[in-house]
Amino acid sequence: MAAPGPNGSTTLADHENLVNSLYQPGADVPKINAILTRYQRSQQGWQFADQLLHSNDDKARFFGALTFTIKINTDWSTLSDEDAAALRQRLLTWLVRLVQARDGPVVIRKVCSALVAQFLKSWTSWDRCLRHLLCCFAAGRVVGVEETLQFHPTNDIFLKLNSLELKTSLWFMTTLVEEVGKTNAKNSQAHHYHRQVLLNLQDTIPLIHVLLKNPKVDNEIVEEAIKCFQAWVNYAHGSLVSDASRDGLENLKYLAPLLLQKLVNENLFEVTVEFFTDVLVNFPAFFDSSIYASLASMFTSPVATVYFSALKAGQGNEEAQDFSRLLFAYGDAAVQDLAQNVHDHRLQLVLDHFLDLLDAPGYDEAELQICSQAIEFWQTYTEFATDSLFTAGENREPWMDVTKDHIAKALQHSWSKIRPPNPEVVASWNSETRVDFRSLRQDFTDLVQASFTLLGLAAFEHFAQLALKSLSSRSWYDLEAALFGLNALSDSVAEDSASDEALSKIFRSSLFRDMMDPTLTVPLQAQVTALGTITNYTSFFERQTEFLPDMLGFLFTFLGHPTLAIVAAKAIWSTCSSCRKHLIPQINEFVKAYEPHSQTDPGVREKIVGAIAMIVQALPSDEEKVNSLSTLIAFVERDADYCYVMRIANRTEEALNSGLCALRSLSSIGKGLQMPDEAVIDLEIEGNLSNSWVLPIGQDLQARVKRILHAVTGHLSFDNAIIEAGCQVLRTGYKETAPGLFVLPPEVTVDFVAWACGSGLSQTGVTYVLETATAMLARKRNASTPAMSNAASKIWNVVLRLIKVSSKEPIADPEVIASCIHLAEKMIPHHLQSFFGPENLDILSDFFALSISFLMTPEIMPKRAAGSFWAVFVQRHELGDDIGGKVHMAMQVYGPQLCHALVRNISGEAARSELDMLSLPLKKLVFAEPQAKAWLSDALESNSFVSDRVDLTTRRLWLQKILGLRGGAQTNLAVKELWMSCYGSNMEYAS
Amino acid sequence: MSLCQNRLQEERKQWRRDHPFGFFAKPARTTSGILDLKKWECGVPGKDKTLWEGGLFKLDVLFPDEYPTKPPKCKFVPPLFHPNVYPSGTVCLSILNEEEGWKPAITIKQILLGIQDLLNDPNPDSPAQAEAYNLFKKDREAYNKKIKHIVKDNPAP
Repeated sequence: MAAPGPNGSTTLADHENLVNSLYQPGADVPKINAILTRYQRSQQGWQFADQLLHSNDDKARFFGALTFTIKINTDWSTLSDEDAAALRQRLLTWLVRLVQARDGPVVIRKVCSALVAQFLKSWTSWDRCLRHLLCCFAAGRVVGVEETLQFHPTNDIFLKLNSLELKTSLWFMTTLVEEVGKTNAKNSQAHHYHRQVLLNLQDTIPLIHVLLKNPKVDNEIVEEAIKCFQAWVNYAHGSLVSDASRDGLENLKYLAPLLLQKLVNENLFEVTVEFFTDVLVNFPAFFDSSIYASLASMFTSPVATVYFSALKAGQGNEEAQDFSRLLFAYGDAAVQDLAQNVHDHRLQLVLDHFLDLLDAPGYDEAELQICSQAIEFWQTYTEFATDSLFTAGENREPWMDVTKDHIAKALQHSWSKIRPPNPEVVASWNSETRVDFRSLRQDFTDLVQASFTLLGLAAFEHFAQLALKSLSSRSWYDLEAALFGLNALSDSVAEDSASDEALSKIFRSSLFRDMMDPTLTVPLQAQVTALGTITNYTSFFERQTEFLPDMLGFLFTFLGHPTLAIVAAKAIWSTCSSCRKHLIPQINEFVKAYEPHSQTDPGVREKIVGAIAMIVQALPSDEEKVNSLSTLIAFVERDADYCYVMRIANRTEEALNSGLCALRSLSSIGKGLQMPDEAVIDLEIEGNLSNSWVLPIGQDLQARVKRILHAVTGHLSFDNAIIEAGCQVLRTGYKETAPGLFVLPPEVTVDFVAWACGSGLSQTGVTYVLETATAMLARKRNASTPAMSNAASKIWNVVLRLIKVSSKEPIADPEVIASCIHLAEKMIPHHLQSFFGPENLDILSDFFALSISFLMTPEIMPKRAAGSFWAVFVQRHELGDDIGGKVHMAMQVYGPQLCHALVRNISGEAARSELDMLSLPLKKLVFAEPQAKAWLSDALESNSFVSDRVDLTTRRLWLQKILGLRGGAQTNLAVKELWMSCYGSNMEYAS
Repeated sequence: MSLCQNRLQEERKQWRRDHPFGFFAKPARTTSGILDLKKWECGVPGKDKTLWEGGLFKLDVLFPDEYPTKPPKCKFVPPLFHPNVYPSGTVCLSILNEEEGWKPAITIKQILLGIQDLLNDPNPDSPAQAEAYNLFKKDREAYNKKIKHIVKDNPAP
């Protein structure tokens, strides 16, 4: 049967050698594979496969079977109906022959796969293929399908088959069900396969039944029967079969009880557990209550006790691991029974096991894993109980109270597990164990949080008592774990004054003293968690201000710590923010406490000066404020001076660090001085404020701020971070509603902009400065004052000159241009007069032209800025005054150009993600501009419409639609539709 | 139970069973302690051996009623300095865009891992904020410095 291969080799021996050469050491695998693939893909591939199956070499036979599968999947269409029928016959012949020859499982399974592959290609029915195969084995030859009618009932046939014949039948059936299950039953051809597969149920169920029931059946066969059963259950779960077929699948359920007995067979334990676990996780409804009851009995039987002991003792052998997987899958699936059936003794015993596993000793991967899974079970349990409680409303049932006891116990057990072990134990951990342990503590946090709804303050008080007890016995690790538990509850408890009593006891205790006492050698981890307790419960300190001094004293001790300093600094910041008034008496102490830390991390320092500034903000008189601020500014001046010294010494890195620290400290002070959001503004008093900031004493302080700003930015103008930090200093004052240290005259910003645009700053630096000026001009407050109008005119003038220069350069910097356009947009609402200032008129046209040209570039940011600018600008033409006239004139010139630019984009040039942005000016234009129709019509019919896929009629209809929408939200959709029509159908996915 | 709620319950189970280290993701609780499955509080750690290593960035994941047909909205709280994060904190990522890469089969784990990847590998083609985008494009050194500063400010526990 051997046919000439592509290179002329014909003998079986040649082919065997070729296949075997694949397995030789140093084989040129890609080359050999290429030759073999050529054989397989050639017309003679079928013969090649058949020839190899004749070989005495199992590797060659395997390759032959594999080639059949490949041919079926790739060249099926070349076969006639007769060829296809002959192929099935041929494969069956091979299967019977190889089984009779007692070939190995690898080759036989591969032939089964080829048979399944042909099943999934063939339109010819092969009903009851399992019975057909069984009959063939029973006859010792391939029988015709019609002949099978003369055979005994399937039940009787099994008895005559040997173990390999049975196993092969099961392999075939398992593969068939798995593969058909992967096809979509809604597809008509796949539906045909599903129908045929289901016909095999009548033979499969008796087969599996006999094999499971008969104790004499070889374990290896039973194992395959269980796998086949599992494949059918998965099929029943996953396939969208008709209801009638579902009834047939229901019969599978009757097999499940037989499997329970296999759990006590140690040779079948693994495969049986795998079955139950898989079904419990993926298809828990498959089992009825009797199976769940039997599993519960098994978990409380003496056999289970052995596994539980092994798990708790950390003897994580494979069987115990399999058992734990089954247990947790059961717990998840049966959580409702476990929670509700509080009088079922067995279930209560199972729950005890779940509790017991929470604090299994030892920290090996397997042990931590068991504890983590046990916590997961209790989370599921807690969530079920919580959901039930809410659903029940007032109709609370007795079992709900019992769940609380269990959850409280679960917390106690898991708490003892998350307690850090002795340092020697921790020192022996590798990085994975550390990660697992941290992860376990996170799981515990989740459980504690989930429990709060049910347990309320009880859990909180429990941890609080534990904390006090461990503090008095100086059991630092117990204390750590207790505080860890308290921290986990902070989100639920901190805002509730009902927790104050318990917290007061803790914070009145020796906690802070002990933590800071160097003679006690408190472990760092306990200190860290105590720090966490403070940061988590800052609202307690707001209510109970008597504790503030001690608590802040504790926080200040961490400021020198390399990693905790920033955490402590943030806590100081938030405490000062919320308790500023109560801390006024301590202000001088804080200033002193801060001084020794001038060498600490700059990020920490800026937080602390800002925190102190918050207390300053709460001082009653401006005079007091000025005095305290003078001290803080003096601290910053030290950094600024140091920056200068380093710059002169050419130590740039140090200069940058101290310069940044100085500027960021200023911003931080500025933020600290801002009025708290919740503060009530008394308008009557506001107008009559005694204002130190206009007196020399205040102005002197402001001058010092300006000096720092100018000095540092001047020395280090090449660095973008410095420019950004300088901008932040200016910005802190913009938000203020009353005069203050950082409420600098607008002229300061004007000078900064003029300096930035004329000093060769980097483009990024210029962008920062322009955005800062934009922030000032965008504010409504004070917009109408002469000083602000004057500033707006000057800034705009600088910007226009920048644009004039930029537009002459071959490539204008797009980000700077974007900032210029953004500034223009933000000027329009409050500073339109300055925008059209007489000195600007001659160069204003450059700006308009530039903003339109950027609408047609691929540069994303300026394009967006230009879109937003025009969306705002086109709305202004209805102003009745002189300014309205200027806007109108500008629109007459640039309105048509704008329309051409928009049409060019919408007709295909824009990226899809830009369409919403481009729709914005279009909507405003349609809504506000009477000439929009004419301009758009002209643009749509001009060369600006870049696509040739949309005809004129469609464009006109589109315009009518857009006009009819009058700028409504549907415009975006219409724009997108037109764009897609212009782009072509290959972009339909984007709709 | 609605499709949305069902799916979110399943996501919660899956997450508990298997989630990458250093991440967290859990439904928020309302003031009365009930889980709000449609709002998750999540944390994405910076990837090891990148600039973002050592940081933990918090974000809210908000699921619409039409989830999983429609994607959730992911929002860094507070907003994050990053080229693909809008000034509001919303993440701009193709798999979170209904019109681009969103598929109902995408899991929360995949979303959060996608966001973690995005941290160190921004997409300059779809900038969402000018500040980070400009610095990323123009001054990589300053950008990197700034990221380090942000990481320090948002340390992983």
